[in-house]
Formats: sequence, structure tokens, C-alpha cells
Amino acid sequence: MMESPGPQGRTTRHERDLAAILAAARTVVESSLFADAGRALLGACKTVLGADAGFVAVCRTGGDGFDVALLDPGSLELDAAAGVPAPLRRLSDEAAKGGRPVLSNDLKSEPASSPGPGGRSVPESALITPIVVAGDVAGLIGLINRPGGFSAADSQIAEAIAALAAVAMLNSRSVNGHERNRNALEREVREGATQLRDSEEKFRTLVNNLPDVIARFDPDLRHVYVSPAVHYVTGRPVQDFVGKTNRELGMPSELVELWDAALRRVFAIGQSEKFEFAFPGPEGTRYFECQLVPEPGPGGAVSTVLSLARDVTDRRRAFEAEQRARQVAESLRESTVALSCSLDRETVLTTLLDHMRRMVDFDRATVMLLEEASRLSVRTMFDGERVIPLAPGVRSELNPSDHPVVYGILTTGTPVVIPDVRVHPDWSLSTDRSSEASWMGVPLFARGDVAGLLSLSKREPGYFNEEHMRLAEAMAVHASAAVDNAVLFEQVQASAIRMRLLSRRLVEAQESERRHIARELHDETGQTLVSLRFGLRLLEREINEGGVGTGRVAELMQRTDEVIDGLHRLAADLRPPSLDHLGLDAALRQFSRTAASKFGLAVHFSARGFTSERLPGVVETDLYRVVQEALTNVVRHAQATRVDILVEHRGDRVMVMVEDDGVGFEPDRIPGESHFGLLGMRERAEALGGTLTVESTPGAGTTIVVEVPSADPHPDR
Amino acid sequence: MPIRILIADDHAVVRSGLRALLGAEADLEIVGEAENGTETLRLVETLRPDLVLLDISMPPESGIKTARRLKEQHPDLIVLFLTMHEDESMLHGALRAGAAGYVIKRAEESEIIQAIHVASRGDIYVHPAMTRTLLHQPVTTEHRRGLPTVALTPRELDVLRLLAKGNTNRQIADLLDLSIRTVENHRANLMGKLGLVSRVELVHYAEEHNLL
Repeated sequence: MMESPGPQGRTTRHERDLAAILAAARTVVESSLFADAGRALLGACKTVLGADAGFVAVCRTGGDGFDVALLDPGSLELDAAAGVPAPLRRLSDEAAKGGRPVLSNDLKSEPASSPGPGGRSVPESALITPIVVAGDVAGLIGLINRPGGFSAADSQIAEAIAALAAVAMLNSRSVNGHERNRNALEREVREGATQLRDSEEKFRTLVNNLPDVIARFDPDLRHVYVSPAVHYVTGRPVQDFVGKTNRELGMPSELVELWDAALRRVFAIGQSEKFEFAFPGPEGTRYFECQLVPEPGPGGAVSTVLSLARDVTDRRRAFEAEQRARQVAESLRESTVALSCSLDRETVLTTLLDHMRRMVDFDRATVMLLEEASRLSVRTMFDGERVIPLAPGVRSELNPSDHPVVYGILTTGTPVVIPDVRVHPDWSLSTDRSSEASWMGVPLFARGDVAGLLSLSKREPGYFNEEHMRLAEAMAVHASAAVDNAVLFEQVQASAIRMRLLSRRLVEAQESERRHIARELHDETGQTLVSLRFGLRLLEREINEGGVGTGRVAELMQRTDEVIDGLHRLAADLRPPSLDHLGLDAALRQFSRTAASKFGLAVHFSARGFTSERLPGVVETDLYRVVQEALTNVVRHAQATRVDILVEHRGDRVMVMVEDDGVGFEPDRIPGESHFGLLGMRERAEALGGTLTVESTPGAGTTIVVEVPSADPHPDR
Repeated sequence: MPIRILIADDHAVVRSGLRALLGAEADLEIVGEAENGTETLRLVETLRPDLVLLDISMPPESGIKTARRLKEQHPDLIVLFLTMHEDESMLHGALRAGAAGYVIKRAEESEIIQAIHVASRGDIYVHPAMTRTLLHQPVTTEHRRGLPTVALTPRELDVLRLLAKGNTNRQIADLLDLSIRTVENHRANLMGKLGLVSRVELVHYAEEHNLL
């Protein structure tokens, strides 16, 4: 459509252009939709610049190319979906890059410009103007095919319209933005509320089924909420708690103080806190581990505190049991080491009580050992402060058969616990009523036999339990081994001392025997032989002088007899021939007779059960020597007038008894010399596998009995 | 018919001395010499002597034991001891072993020859130096044998039995469940009642009254 030129025509055209732009500008202001504004502006452009077709493109998100938002194809065959028409792409890129309008009136030379199918018209000229928003190219306005081509003045107009498009774009963007934000927010709130409900539901289910006690406290330390688990722990319904403080609930005051202090700190400082507490529940004390978590209110200050209390009783019990087991094992190990370190019986018993105290908290204790079947003596005691070993003089003794409880333990070898001895019918031991109520007696063993008793007592009635008993038994077993060792050691030590004494005495005895023999040979035999020789010399002279020498010969014969007699005595003293030729009974009979005349004692002798069957030589010799030694002691110390010597062969045993009516002695005060004598006798008796018994009462004589097996103790020797 | 004699002594000097001494006697014939018990037994078996002149100290075996075995196997054989031992218990042992005589070595030749003759007649010869000891026989308890069992209490009888069996006062106290003091009292009482002064007498008393 072509308007005729002329002043009239120009004015008209100018007005029309202005009106189109104004209308477009109005649309831009009124409509928030870019699509409306864009259409109006594209329309205005086409009108003002007389272009055949046009488009508005917007910059793709990310700035990579353009999408065609509006297309007015005019007479051209164009498709918005195909984007910016191909021949215009170079121009578009140039305009976008430069930020200024670009025009071309010679598009036929563009490589992509070829006639469309069906001979439709193609773009020949174009003006591309960038829409610049806040300094960035946000879109393009493209105008295509103006008769006569586009001019620089056209591009100025297009620029002005593009400025309007920029405003429209800006408008639509901010409006769209707000719209979108509000929608998203509403959706989010809706979804959030649903999720919240879900999770709260899940949370509540969780909390209700949790064994942990969850509670919420307000700043006045009142329960705002408690989880149902509280019912199982306290035995009280949930309703009891809400609105009440721990104190109001009647919790033990110590516990209340612990809780209140912790809650106040969390309210004040706003930091979570952990602590442990014991709760006296309906089924015994339970242990809890508790975490307090601050919950800030709208103002930021802590408005409530959440507590989460977990029952750790089992864990704690397991831990304590393990701890205790470890402690017991350690104690046992230590005591074993300590016990095995000592070879002294008193030290062993003291160590036993010391270590026992680490495991069983008793108030009083004693260790009693059997001295013999009818004598139990207190060897060590714990007086409430320390363990005291008792010396032989101060040990109290008791006869087990007078005390049924003790007797029971010793005969059965099993421990006994008495909850309260003050009301026990069979109780007979002397106990301090104020400090000893419950009692435990544990047997001690030595080489498999009951050797004594460990007696423990405690002020509280019913104190000792199964575990105490087991511990004490375990300790007693350890101690028993140590006591065994100590007893063996004592024996070894005693026999070592005895051996030393004996070997010294043996050397001395040998020496004195030699001295005796030497004196005998020299003083008696030697002297007589010298005089005999002298006599022979005289006899020789007499014969040489023609004499007969009969008197001299008789004298010499007599002297020879004296030598023979002396030698006989000497030999018989050393070893009576009857012992070799006749046997023990004959030798002892002979000995009794000799001793009677030699020492001026009434010696009575009796032998029973002997036949011509001889005893082993070593048995005969040793028993003979025992009697000899016993009689030596009698002569030296007893001041006796009468000695009885009995020897009896009974079955496979031989018994020898030497009994005098002398002054006797206290059994533990044996005079030194006869002590050695007794040692020697004991040694001989034991070497034969037998025993020596010494019994003496001051003023009522002494009896010595040796009993040995009649068989040779060392047949292979 | 001379008396056929086997000399058994471990000392060759003694043997040759005896052979010289006895060989000079017309009615004695030395048929052999042995130096220990085994040889003696063997030679008695082969030589069949009438009499063995036997030493006591004749290692390895005691002459007394040899004598016992000789008399077991040859009850008619005359065993005459000729020994150093002037010991009464040896004399008793020798006679109990069945010896017909006991001569000591320091005896006169005539005494030895006399002993051989006495023994050959079937009598016992003991050297004069030893006869004294034959009187030292244990004193018999004849005078008490007739004693009635004095009225002892049952307890005293228990104590008596246990004492006779060689128990000490304490052992008896434990066995009878009495105090040692009580046992001592019983003991003193029963000894007093029976007129006994010593344990040995008590044992003999118990033996005689079948209390053991």
C-alpha cells in the first residue's frame, strides 16, 4: 500500500506513524504480558517503516541464540518454530554482538537465501535491532523486505521502538517473577505442612515405642511432655508427670538436685549436657544415661529443654560384672603371686587375709589350722584394722568336736554361711556380739585334706552371699597350695637343720669314739703288751740262766688273758657280737644285763614275738643303737632307779620301748645333750620308715617308743 | 674207734694249731678242715664226721646259724663251739642252736680235749669261765604265777592291756578317750593292786594271764 507523497500526505503519514507508536507505547505500559506489548510494537514498526514481515526474538536462557517469540510473516513463507530465518542469522548475530541495529538490502547474496518452494518470495532486505535490557542484548526486533530497502533513518526509528520493547520485556519479567515466586512459596508451604504432619506422625510413633524416656521441660522445670516409656520405668502413668516438677513428683531429693541443676544449666547456657543417674524403680535400681538438649523459642532464648534418658542398667551391670571379674582375677593373680612368694606359713596366712579383704569386705577374721585332730589353733587374725600373725605362745586353741559348725566344715570340707550367729542354734564360737553377726567359714586344705578353717565375720546380719563364698573358696584353694609349700618348706628346713646338727654330732661322736679307742688301745692294751714283752724278756733271761720259768709263764698267761679281755670289751662296746650272731632280742637282752651291772640300775627286759627268723641287719642295728642312746640319756639325765626295755615283733612292725622312772622333762624343754640324742634316734627311726614317740611328765619318768616296719627299708642297698 | 673230727675255723693258724694239738691224741682223728659255714656243711655231708669243732665268727655266715643248719640236717652230729666270745648271750644262742658244748679259745689244751670227750658221750660241756653266766637266767616269775587276777575295774583292765601292748599314756588316753591324768591314775592303781613295779613285769603278767 503506497501513500501519495505531498505535504498533506506526509503530515498524514507522520501522524499515523506517531499514533501507531503511541498505541504501542500504551500497550507496553498497560500490559504486563510481553506477548501483547511485543505484538503492538512489531505492528508499529511495520507500519512506520513499511516492512513486509517482521519478528521479535528473545535471547535463549544461557545467552546461546534466539527463540522467535512473535512472527508476522507478511507475504513470506516463514515459520516461527524454525527460529530466526536462515538468511538473517548472520545479521542477527552481528546486531546482538554489536548491540546496534544492522541492516542489509542485499540479502539475495546471502548463502542461505534461495527461492523457497513454489516460487514464493524470499527476504531481500532486513533491519535487525537489538533489545537492550540493563546493558545486555535480551532480544531482537527484525524487519524484512521494505520496498526500496532500509535506510539509516529507519534504523533510528527501530532503535526507539526497541527501547520500548526493552521496557516491555523488563515489565513482563518482574511481574512474571513475582507471580512465580508466590506460587512456588504457596506450594512449598503446602508440601511442607504435609511433610511436617507425616514426620510428626512418624516421630510420635517412634517416641511412643521407644524404651528411652523422652521428656520436655519448661523453664520452671515442669514436665511439658513425657513419653509413655516413663510408665514402665516409674510405674506411674504419663498423666502424673505433665505439669509437675521432679520434686513435686516426689523423686529422691539427691536425684531432684542433680536433675534441677543440669536443667537450669541447659536453660541458662543453651548447651546440651549429658549425665548419668540411678533411679530407684519399682523393680530395683535402674541406671540411666541422660542427654538434655536446649530448644530455642522464637526469641532465640531456650524455651524448653528436651531430655532423653536411656536405660543403661544392663550395660552398666555387664560392665560392672566384667570389672568385678577382672578385679577378682587380678586379685587372685596378685594373691597367688604374693602367696607363692612366701615360704613361711605365718606370712602365707597373713597374705591370705590381706588379699581376701580386697574382695570380701569382712569386719573380723581368723585363720585356724589343725595342729592335730583335737586341736585347732588360731594362727592369724584380722582385728578390724590390721592382720596380726599370732606367735605360738598366744594362739588360742579349741577342740573342733566342741563346736558343731566348725566340726561340720572340717569333716565335710564345705564352706558354711550363717546369716546371723546370734540367733543360730548351733553357734558355739566366742564372737563379739557388737561386731560379728553374719559369719562365713571356709575350709583350708593341705595336700587334699582339710587342714584348717578360714573364719570371716561381718557386723551386718545376712551379709555374706554366694559370691563371697565362691571368692573365699577360690582364695582358700590358692592359699592351700601355698600353705602346702610352706609346710613342706618348714619340714625341709627343719630336716636340713636336723641334718646339720646330726652331721656335726656324727663328726664329734666319731672323733670321741676314736679318742676312746685310741686311749683304750694305748693305755690298756698297749701298756699290757709292753709289760708282756718285758715279762718275756725276763723269762728268756731265766731260761738262759737255766731256770724253768714256770711261775713267770703263769704270770704271762694271766697278762695275755687281760689283753684278750680288754680287747673283747672294746669290741663288744663297739658292736656286740650277739647282734651279728644271734639277733636283736638276744643282743638287747645282753645289753640290758650289762647296763644293769655297769650303771647300777634295775633294768627289766622283755622281748616278745621273736623267732629264729632274723630281722634285716639295718633294722636290728638301728633299733639296738636307739636303745643304747636312750639308755645313755637315762643314765646321764633321768636320775632313774629303774628302766624297762621292751622289744616286740608284731606282724610286720617292730616296737622298741625304753621307759624310766626318772625326773622326766617338759616336752618342749629337752636338755641339750639328750636333744641331740633324740634327734639321732628320730633320724634312725625315720630312716627305717618308722616313728619315734617321746612322752615325758616332769617327775613321772620318760617313755620313748620307736616303731618301725620289720622289712628292710632299702632292700636294694 | 677214734672220734672223727671236722675243724671249722676261718683262721688257718688256729686250724693248724688245733690239728697239731688234737692229732697227737690217739682217740681223736682230724678228718678235715673247713673255713666257712658253706664248706662245713659240704664237708659234713661228704666226710660224715662225728663231731664238728665250730667257730662262731666265721664270715660270711655266723657259726650259730651254721650250727642250726647242721643240726637240722644231721641231728646226730655233735657240734662243739670253740670261740673267742666269752659272752653269755652267745653261750645261750649256741646252746639253743643245738650245740653240745661251748669252749673258749683261751682254754687249756686239756680242757678242749675234755670238752670233746664230754660232748661225744652225749653230755653238755660248758667251759668253767662261762658256767657262772648260766646262773644268770632271767628271774622266773614263779612267785607271781599263782596270783589270782586281782579285782581290776574294767577300765583298769583296758589300760593294763594297752600298756602291755606297748602304748604310751597319751596313746591310751586318745584310744580310750580319757585324759592323760586319768590314764596315769589307772596305771598307778592297777600296778599297786597287782604289786607290779615296771612295765616289763606288767607285760609278763599280761602274758601269763592271757590278757594279750
